[in-house]
Amino acid sequence: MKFRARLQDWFDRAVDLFPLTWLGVICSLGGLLGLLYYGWRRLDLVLLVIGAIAVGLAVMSLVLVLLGAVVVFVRVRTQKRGESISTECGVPSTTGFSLPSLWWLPMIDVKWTWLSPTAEVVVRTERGRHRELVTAERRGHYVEVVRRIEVGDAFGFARVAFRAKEERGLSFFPSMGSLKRIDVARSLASGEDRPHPGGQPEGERADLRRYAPGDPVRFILWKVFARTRDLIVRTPEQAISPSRQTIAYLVTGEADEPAAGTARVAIETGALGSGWCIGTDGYEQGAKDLKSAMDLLTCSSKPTEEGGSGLATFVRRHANVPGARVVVFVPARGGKWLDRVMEGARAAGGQGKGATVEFVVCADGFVETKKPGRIARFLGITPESDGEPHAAPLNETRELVAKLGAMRGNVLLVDRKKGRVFSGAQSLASLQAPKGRGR
Amino acid sequence: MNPPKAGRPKLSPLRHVIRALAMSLGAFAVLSSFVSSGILFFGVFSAAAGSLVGELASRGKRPARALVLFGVGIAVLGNLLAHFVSDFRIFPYVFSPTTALTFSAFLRFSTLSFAIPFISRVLAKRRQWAVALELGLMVFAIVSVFAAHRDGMVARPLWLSDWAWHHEVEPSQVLLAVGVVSSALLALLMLVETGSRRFVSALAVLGVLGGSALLFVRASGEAG
Repeated sequence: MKFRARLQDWFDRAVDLFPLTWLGVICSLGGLLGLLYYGWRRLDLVLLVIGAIAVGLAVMSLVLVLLGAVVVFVRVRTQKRGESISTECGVPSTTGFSLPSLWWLPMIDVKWTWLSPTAEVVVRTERGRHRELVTAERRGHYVEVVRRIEVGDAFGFARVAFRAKEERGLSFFPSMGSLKRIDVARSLASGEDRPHPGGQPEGERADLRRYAPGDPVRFILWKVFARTRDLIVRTPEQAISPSRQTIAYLVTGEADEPAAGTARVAIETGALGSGWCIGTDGYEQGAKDLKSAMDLLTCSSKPTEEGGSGLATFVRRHANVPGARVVVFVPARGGKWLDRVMEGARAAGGQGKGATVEFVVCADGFVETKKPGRIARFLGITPESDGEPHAAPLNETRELVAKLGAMRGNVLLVDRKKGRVFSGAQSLASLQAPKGRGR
Repeated sequence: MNPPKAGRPKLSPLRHVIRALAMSLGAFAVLSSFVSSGILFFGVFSAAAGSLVGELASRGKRPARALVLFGVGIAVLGNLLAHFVSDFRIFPYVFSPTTALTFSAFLRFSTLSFAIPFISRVLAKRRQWAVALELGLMVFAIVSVFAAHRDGMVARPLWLSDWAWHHEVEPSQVLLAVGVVSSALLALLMLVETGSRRFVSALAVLGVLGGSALLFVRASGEAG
């Protein structure tokens, strides 16, 4: 941790331990002024009562909050170690962690949040205890939970917060959302299974052409020669066959959760075919079976500035057979990763006989954002996201799809939240939404 | 699976109504001494509207400074229009001087009554400490009505002492009761703002404190 961040962290902890809030300080001072000056000196009976009640409430809040904080602190220290949890991001699950609700202390409430890993906490009260229900927001394997526990009063005059670490194994797998299946890589490559004008002349000998010196004599059609006196030979037709090797790569970075979830769907539904290999930034050695792939996807959550930097190395290492297919799962938000991914995709194109690259752009919905005008910018008004905070901005995604499409690779657009997949030109057309609701 | 709704404030549908009513009361307290009943009605209505509109406006991503500027703009515009209506000859000439003055007062006080609760609500919604601003406004509004009794003049305001003696009650006791009721209203505002689950126990503590104030403060105005 950098010095400045550490300093900020210590400052936050110190502020958390100061028992009065700003509201409490202002109301206490205002109450004292009303009580001592207007109430006592100038005999304002209304302010005398208001001031006395304000100061009384502030003092009671302070005392009760300190008492409650001591009780909760002791209970947290004596809490048993929790069991390991394995669940999917976005799915609420109980952890077994609980704290006393302090029902016997008037005005006092206990609540807490998770600082690490990032998760939404809902507290339910059952039989005098607060029990937590957490919904993880980011995939990953963790060995401890850091909670920020806050004991405060009902008026908001006083509160004390402290951090509590709990050692506990946690595995949050990427969420698949509403995505049931995805056909990303029933890819076609050189082979002899299906006639195709884009393939190599390696198929059945079904095509005909005039004899040329050097052609094997056994392929000459003698019956045709007998009728027409022309020498015609059979030649192999241009054909393709399903790729036997699919290389998948997950580009990590900001807003990469939908991409990780989509990659998981592709692996679990067998969309990558039989012989596949998946890699991600920092894990270029790749994974070739379901269990290690899930581990790799889960571990890939560590924030990195180098998203997409391992693609070129990964492709060089694994796409070393002719006609390999590379499927790259990318977030729907552009960034520095884009240049590195394009570079990697170019490297893949130049690999061996030329691997074909397919991009899967993933998001949790798309939303139209309006560019703020001059006055709005001056006032600091940011674009509205229509209540979908995790949705990708359409203009940014359009730009991204256009850039990736220029790489001559197929581009799929995936909306994990709604379980929709758009392919090719459809993906661009689908982004031409007339107006701003999430799609 | 939907997450349970535990932990939500229990008074969420009511809190905006309570706050709007409190703001209306504040506007009534301030305006009742110097405006006519018609304008008073609009002032009270504007204060409630200002509080509700401020609540709605501050829910989005619009920055507080833009909203505060909007509130200030409303107040300034209202006062400029009021100035125009009363000071330029054309309006009194076309209608009548009385109508012009009434309309001018309406514009001035209804926009001010709207803008002040609007701005305080926007600030309170964005910063917890700014709730104190709302409370301060309420205290100012209430206290200004009864400020005449300061420095031992417990017979003031006369309308209050007249009413109290007619009902055989000591005016100072009424003033103390006003203080307790005001404190209860302010505390209720704070409770609905925090949306705490310990609402009932907090009200009980407040009741104990208010009762103690009524019991232990002497009617002469000295603390005993």
